[in-house]
Amino acid sequence: MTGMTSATQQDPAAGAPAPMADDDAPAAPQDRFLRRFVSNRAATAGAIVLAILIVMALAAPWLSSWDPTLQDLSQAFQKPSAAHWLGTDNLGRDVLARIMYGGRYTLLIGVIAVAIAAAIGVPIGLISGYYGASVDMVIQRGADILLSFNAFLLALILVAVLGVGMQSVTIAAGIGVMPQFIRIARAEALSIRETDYVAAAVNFGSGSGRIILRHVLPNALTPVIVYATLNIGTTILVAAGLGFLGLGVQPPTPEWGSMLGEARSYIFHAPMQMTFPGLAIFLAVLSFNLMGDGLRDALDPELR
Amino acid sequence: MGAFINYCVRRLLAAIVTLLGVVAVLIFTFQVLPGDPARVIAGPMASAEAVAKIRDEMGLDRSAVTQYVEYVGKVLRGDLGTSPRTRVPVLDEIAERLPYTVALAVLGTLLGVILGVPLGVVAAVRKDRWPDTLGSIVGVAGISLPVFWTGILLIVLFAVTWKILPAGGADSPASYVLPSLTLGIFSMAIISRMTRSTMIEKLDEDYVRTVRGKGVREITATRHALRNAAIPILTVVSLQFGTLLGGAVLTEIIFSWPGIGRLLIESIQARDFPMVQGIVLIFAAMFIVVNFVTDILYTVVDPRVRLY
Amino acid sequence: MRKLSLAVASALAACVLSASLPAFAADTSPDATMTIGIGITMNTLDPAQQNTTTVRNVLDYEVQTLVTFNERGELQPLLATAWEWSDSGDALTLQLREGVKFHDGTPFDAEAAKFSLGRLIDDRVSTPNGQSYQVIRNMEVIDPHTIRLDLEYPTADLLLALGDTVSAMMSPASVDAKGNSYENLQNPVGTGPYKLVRHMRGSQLVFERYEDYWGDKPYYKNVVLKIIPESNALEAGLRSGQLDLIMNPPVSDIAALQAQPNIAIIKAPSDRSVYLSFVTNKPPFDSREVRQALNYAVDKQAIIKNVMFDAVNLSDSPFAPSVSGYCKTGVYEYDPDKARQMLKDAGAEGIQVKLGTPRGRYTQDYEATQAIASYLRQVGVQVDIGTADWATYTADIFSVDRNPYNLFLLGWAPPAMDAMFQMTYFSKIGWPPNGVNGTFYDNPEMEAIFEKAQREIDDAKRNDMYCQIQKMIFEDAPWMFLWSQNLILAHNKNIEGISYQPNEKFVTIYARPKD
Repeated sequence: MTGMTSATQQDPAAGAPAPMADDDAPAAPQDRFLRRFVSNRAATAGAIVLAILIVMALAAPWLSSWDPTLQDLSQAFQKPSAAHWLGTDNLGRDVLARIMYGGRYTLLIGVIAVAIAAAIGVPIGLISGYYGASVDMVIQRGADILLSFNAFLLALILVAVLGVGMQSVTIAAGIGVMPQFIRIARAEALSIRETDYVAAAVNFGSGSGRIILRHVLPNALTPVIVYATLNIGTTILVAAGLGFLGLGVQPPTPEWGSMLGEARSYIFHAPMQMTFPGLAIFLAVLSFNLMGDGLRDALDPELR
Repeated sequence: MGAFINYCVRRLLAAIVTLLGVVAVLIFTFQVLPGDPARVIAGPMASAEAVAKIRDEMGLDRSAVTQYVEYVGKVLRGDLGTSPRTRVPVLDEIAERLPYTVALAVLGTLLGVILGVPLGVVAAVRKDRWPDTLGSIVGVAGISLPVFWTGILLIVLFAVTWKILPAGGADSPASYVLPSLTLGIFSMAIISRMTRSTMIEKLDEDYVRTVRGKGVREITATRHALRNAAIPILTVVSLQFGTLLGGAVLTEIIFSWPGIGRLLIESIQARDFPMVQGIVLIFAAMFIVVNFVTDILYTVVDPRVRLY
Repeated sequence: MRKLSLAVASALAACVLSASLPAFAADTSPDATMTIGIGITMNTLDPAQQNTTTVRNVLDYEVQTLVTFNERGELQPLLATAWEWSDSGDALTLQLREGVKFHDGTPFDAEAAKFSLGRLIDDRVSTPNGQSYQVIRNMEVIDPHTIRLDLEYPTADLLLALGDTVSAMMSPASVDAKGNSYENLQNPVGTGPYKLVRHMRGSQLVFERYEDYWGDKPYYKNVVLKIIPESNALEAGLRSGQLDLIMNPPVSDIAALQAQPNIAIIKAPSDRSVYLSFVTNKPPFDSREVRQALNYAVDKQAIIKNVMFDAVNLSDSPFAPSVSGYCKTGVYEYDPDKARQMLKDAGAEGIQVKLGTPRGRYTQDYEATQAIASYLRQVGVQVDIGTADWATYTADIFSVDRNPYNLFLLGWAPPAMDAMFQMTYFSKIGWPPNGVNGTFYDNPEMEAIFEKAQREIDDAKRNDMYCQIQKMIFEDAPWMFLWSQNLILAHNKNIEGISYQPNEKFVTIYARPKD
C-alpha cells in the first residue's frame, strides 16, 4: 500500500499502464499511436506551440536583429514600438530578443534535467524492483529521504551547494525529479518480474542483468517516456523558480525565470516586463503537458 | 489489534531511519557548502575574533561525524539547537511560524478539493463533451502556470490596481486570500485531473456497468464510482497537502508570508545551519506523518484494504 | 474655611503635578497607531550582538544609548547629559541623566551603565560590531550618576561609538527575566519611549508607548513595524495607505511616488559609501596609473542619473559626508580619452577584468555593475561579470587568495559614523583573514598617520590627519569611487515630524499627524 502514497507529486494521472492490447493486429503499432496522437487536438496544439518556441529559440539570430544582452540605458523601459516589438527592459535590452534566445536555456534545461533524472533514476528503480528484498529496502529508504523534500526544495538545497549557474540548476532540477523515476521504474520492474516470459528467461538461465536489459527495460520504457514528458514541465518550473530567486542562470543570460525575477522590482514602474517571461514559461510547460497527456492517451487507450 | 500495532511500529522504525538519513544528508551538505557561515552571520564589519567566536559556537570546526552524533543526541532530547543568527531556540521559532505555512497548505488543499473534485467528476461523467473539454483545459492550464507568476499577477491585480487586498504579510484575514488562491489554483488543477481520470476508470468498470445495466439512474452509478474513486483521490489530496507544505516556499516569498518556507530560504542564504536543519527535519517529519495518516485513512474508507 | 483650604490644596497639588509631568503630555494620542514597513527580517534583539542597521533602528524604539546623533550627525546628549575627557585623553567621565527608569522599574544609574558596557568587553558575549569598545580598560563608578571609562589609549572615536545602539543601556535586572541570560538578552529592557509588547517572528513587531518615559512622550500610542521583504509589497502598502512609512522603495518608482498626492519623500544622507575595490597586490591593478585610468573611464554621473534614478550622491571623497573627519578630496571626472591614454602609457591595453557584484544587497548594485562594465569595455578593457549569493560572494571577496574577482563591489557604513571604523575598510588591519579589506592596499605612510589620528584628542588636528589620509587614498585610487547612498523614506504626507540619523536610520519618535 505504501506504493500508492508514493505516487507522483506532479501528476498522478500517469500511473503504471497495463500491457499493450493486441486488438488491432493488422495496423502497425506506430501508425496506431500516431493516429491516436494526432486526433487528440490538445496534444497536437501542444506540439505546435512547442515547435514554435523551439523555432524561435533556434532561429533567434535571424528572427531578431537585437543582441539580447546589449544594454542601452538611455532606452530603458520603452513601450512596445516598431523598433522593439515587446519594448525594452530596465537596462534597455530588447524584450522580444531576450524571450526568443531565452527559450534556448529554459527548454534545454528542462530536457536535460529530465534526461539526467531518467538516466540515473530508472536504472536504480529497475534494480530496486527486480532484485527486491534488502536491495529494494535500502534503495527505497534512500528514495524516501529524497522524496521527503519536494522537487523544488531538493533543488534549492543542491543549488546552495553547487553554486549558481546553468549547470548547477540543471543538475539540481534533475535530481529534484529523479525520485519519481525511481518509483515508476520500480513499479514497472515489480510487475514485469512476475510475467511469464521473465520466468521463462530465468529458467533458461539468463543472468539478471540480461533480463533487466532485454525484458524489463523495454516494457518500462513506455510509462517512463510519458512520465518524462510530463516531468519536463516540472523541471522547467523548478529551474525557472530558482532563476526567479536569483539562484539559477545568471544575468545577463536571458533565462525566462531569471527575467521574471529581475522584473519583480519594477512591478509599479513597468508591469509589462514580467508578463512576457511568465507567459513564455506557461506556454512551454503547457505544451509539454499537453503532449505528455497525448502520449499517455495514445500509447494506452485504457488509461483514458 | 496486534497486527495494527506491529504495523505502526514498522512504520515508525522506517520513519526514524529516514529522518536519520535526512540529517546525515544535511550535515554532509553543510560541509561542502561554499562560504564561511560564521563570517556571513557575523557580517562584513565584524572582527576576526567575533567571527571566530561564532564559528566556535556553531561547532563548525568539529568533524562531521561528531556534529552528526551530537545533533541526533540533541534531537532525541527535543532540542533542535539555537539559531546563531537570532539567538532563539530553533524549535521556538519554527513553532511560531509553522502554523502560517500549515494554514496556507490547508486552505490551498481545501480550495483544491472544493473546486477540483466537482470539476473532475463532471468532466468524467460528461466525457468528451464540453464540460470535459473545459475541465481538461482548466486542469492542464492550472498545472502549467508558474506559481511565482500567478502570485505576482494576483498582486498586481488585487493589490496594486484595484487595491482591495493586501500585497503581503499575514495580519488580516484578507491577507490569506491571495496566497491561498495562488496555491489553490495549482492544487485544484492536479486534483481535478486525478479525479477525472480515476472516475473515468471506475465508471468503466464491470460492476458499474452491471449497475447501469440494471437500469439505475446515472447519478447512482456516479456515486458508486465516486466511492471507489475515493482512495486514489484521497492519495492525491494528501500528497497535495504534503507538497504544499514544502512547495509554499515561493508563495511565501512573494507574499512576504511569515511561514517556515520563507524562513528556510532566509536561513539558507544566511548560512544559519541549525535553523535549516531544524526546518528540513520538520518538513520530512510532516511529510512522513501525512503519508502515514493517508494510509490509515485507506483502511477507514475501504475496509477491504489490508495494510497489515 | 475648609472649602478655601481645599481649593488652595488642590491648586497646589495641581501645580506640583503639572510641574512633574513632562511637557506636551496633553499632546499624545490615547490610541493612534503608526504602521511602518521594513524590508529586513530581524536577527537577534540583543543590542550588544547586533550587526544590522535596520534591526538597530527597531531596537532604538525601546533602548537608548548614552549619546545620540541629530540629522547632521552631530553628537547629542541622551542618557548622558555631559562628558569630559581627561587631559591625557585616556579617560572619559560621563554624567548620567537622573530620574530615568528602565521599563522593569530598575533605576538607571552608573551601575547599570557599567553593566551594559561591561557586556561589550566581556568575552562571554558575542559582539560582531563591538571592536570600538575594546579600548575600554576599566570602568569606575564614581557616584550613582557619574561613571569614568579608562581607556587603553586616547581615542575620540569611543564617544561616537557610545551613540551606536550596540552600546545601549540595559537593565541589569533583566538578566533574570524569562528567556534572557547574561550572554543573551533576547528580551531587551531599556529606557526608551516605547516598549515591545508583541513580536511575531517574521511578521511584525508591536511597540506600545511607555507612559513613564522620562522625556517628551511620543504622539503615537502604538508603533507597528511590519516585516515585508518584497519591495513591491512595501510600495503597494504605502500607496494603499496600509503603511505610513517605508524605507528604500525601488528607485525607479521614486519619481512616481513623489507625484502621488498623499505621499512625501525624504532623501536622508547616509554614511554608506559604495565602491569597486581593486585587488592591488596583483597585476594589473598593482599599478596606480591603471587604477586611476579606470576611474576616469566610467561616467558615474550618467549612471547615477539613469541607473540609480538620482537616489545616490556622487562620492567626492573616500569618506561619506556624514562620517566624522570627512573632507572633500575631488572626483575623477569622466574622460574616456584620458583613460585610454593612461592605459596605453602603462602598457595595460586590453587587460582582463573579473568584476564581481552581489545582487540586491545595495541599491541597484547589479544594474550599476552592468553599466560600469559597459563603460570599461568602451576603453578597451575586457570585462567578465560574476555574481553569487551574498554568503558565497563574501566568502570569495574576503578570502586571502581565492578571490575570483580582481575588481569587486562593496558598500561600507560605519554604524557610529566614526572615522576609525571607516578606516578598517582601507587599512592594513583590515586585510583578510582578519577583516574584509580585500584590496590589500598597503601604504605605510598612511598607516602611520592613521595610528596617530586614532589617538589624537584635538578635534582640529585629528580632522586634519584624516583629511590627509583621504587625499592619499584618493590619489592612490585603490578603489573606483562611486557614490554614497541616501536613505529614501517614503511616507504618508499627512504625517510630519519624521526624521532620521545620517547612519541609515529613521526616527519617528516625534512624528504626529498634520493638523
